[in-house]
Amino acid sequence: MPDRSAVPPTTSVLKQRLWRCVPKAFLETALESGPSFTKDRRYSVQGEFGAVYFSGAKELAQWETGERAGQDAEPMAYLEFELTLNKLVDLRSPKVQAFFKFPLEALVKSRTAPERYAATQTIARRVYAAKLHGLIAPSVHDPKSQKTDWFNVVLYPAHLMLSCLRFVEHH
Amino acid sequence: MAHAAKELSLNIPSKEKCRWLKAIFDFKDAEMAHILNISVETLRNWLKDAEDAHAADSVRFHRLLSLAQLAHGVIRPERMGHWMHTENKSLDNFVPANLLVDPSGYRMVATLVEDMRSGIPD
Repeated sequence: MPDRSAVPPTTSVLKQRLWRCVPKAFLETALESGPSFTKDRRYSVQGEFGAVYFSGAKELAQWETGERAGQDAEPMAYLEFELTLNKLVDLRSPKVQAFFKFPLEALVKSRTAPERYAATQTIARRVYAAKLHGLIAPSVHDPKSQKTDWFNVVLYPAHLMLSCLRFVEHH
Repeated sequence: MAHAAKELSLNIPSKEKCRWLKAIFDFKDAEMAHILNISVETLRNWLKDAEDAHAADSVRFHRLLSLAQLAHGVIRPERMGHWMHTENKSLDNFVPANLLVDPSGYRMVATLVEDMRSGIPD
């Protein structure tokens, strides 16, 4: 059991619209978390736990595609979802940032920056260890949340499965 | 040239992989030799070898094959060379081809392509 004092403040969302953007060729596997397990990502750790990442706005996902490949990209699919879930840690909140003792800048380093995921993976490990469902995270493209829907949501499938799985015994 | 570009595919061929990589990424000889850490003369020998016998021993050669495989379905084949040689905002305006010389740069480029493939935001 995690130390209760180590459990960060959580929030819930009700019918929150979210987006995922994948090439049309990979539409059928759009909710797979595998790739996030095999390499380090901002809020998932290689070989430890994977996650499924979402954008809060279609425009944000489109912006990222434009920055990454523009017209060179294969046709992309923008999938809209509606999320209702509790046990989420909202890292946009200054109170939550203070809980983790990391400034906002540490959460939104670019992918070429040294130690780019040091803070975010530290946070992710604590959230994961507390068996929470995931995170709401500021986007590197709008760190101060000037656009209300430019954020990311990170879900941990392993913990979401606990709602339908009950551990019985370790043989 | 435009006609030839349309025929590019990101399916790795069974033979002439070195020639295929050069075409798909639109590398110049000197650039590809630099990325593979070999001389231009050696590269030209590799390019003549349909079996890729010597290239197959090169880790850097396999990195390029892996990148091409990752890009399949993500970057349009006929635009792969353009993408490889264009400043990329998501990479802080680094040019992907310039990052391929060392392992950490390769990982950055490969991760970016994989993030596009998997829908993982920046």
